[in-house]
Amino acid sequence: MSPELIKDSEDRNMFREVLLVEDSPGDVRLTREAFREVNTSVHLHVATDGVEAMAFLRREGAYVHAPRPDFILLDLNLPKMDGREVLARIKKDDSLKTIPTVILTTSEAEADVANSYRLQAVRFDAFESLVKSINDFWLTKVKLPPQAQSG
Amino acid sequence: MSQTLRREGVHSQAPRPDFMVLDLNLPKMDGREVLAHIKEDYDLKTIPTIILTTSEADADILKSYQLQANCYLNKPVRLDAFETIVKSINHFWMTMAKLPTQAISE
Repeated sequence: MSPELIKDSEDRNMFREVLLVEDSPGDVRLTREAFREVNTSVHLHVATDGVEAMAFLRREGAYVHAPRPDFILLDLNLPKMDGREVLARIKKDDSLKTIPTVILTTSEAEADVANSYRLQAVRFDAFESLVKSINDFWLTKVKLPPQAQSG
Repeated sequence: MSQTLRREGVHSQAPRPDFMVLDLNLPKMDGREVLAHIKEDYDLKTIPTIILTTSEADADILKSYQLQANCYLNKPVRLDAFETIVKSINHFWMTMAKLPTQAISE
């Protein structure tokens, strides 16, 4: 569906394209299951390292037809290109920087918190009820950037 | 408004906010400009800034994210809905999100 069609449709808010950047298969599975329970209109896409995440976002290689995510969940410790670098690249890119990016990591380091905020993201601590909270806030209450103009 | 953040004039003793809720339509300097100032300032830009406004215009939503607002919420007119929004901001940002610590972000 073209971005214009999504915008013009009454169902514009029906589907949410969410990109999860996470290398742990266990966390991917938990996140997927949690989304399935709380919001069936989420299309969850998974990239397992930073290089794959950037290829998805820039629609390169196997990702030519990838949708533009409405929302990104990003781990910091990733193989190939780490999450800090992915975040920096997203926020330096005029087209990608409008996509709300939430940092989801086990890191407790204050430096990671400060640096992530400098790059304009949000960071979490616990996994429990996390997906529900993310869904309730980001995918229900928050007005995400309109696809047509930002796509 | 930005006098408070920059601790200017009568605001010299103002604390650094941990978090900001910002309306777009404001007198003197409007919220878009306040947001632009905050996110262009190396020290201030780490303060999570939530846009809470009655505007539902796509242009305002997009512009706010371009200026690096952390999120955009519609301000409901009804009191009960307003309370729900404030509670949800509190739940996500004050309970779940790790805010930057003062010492490091200053």
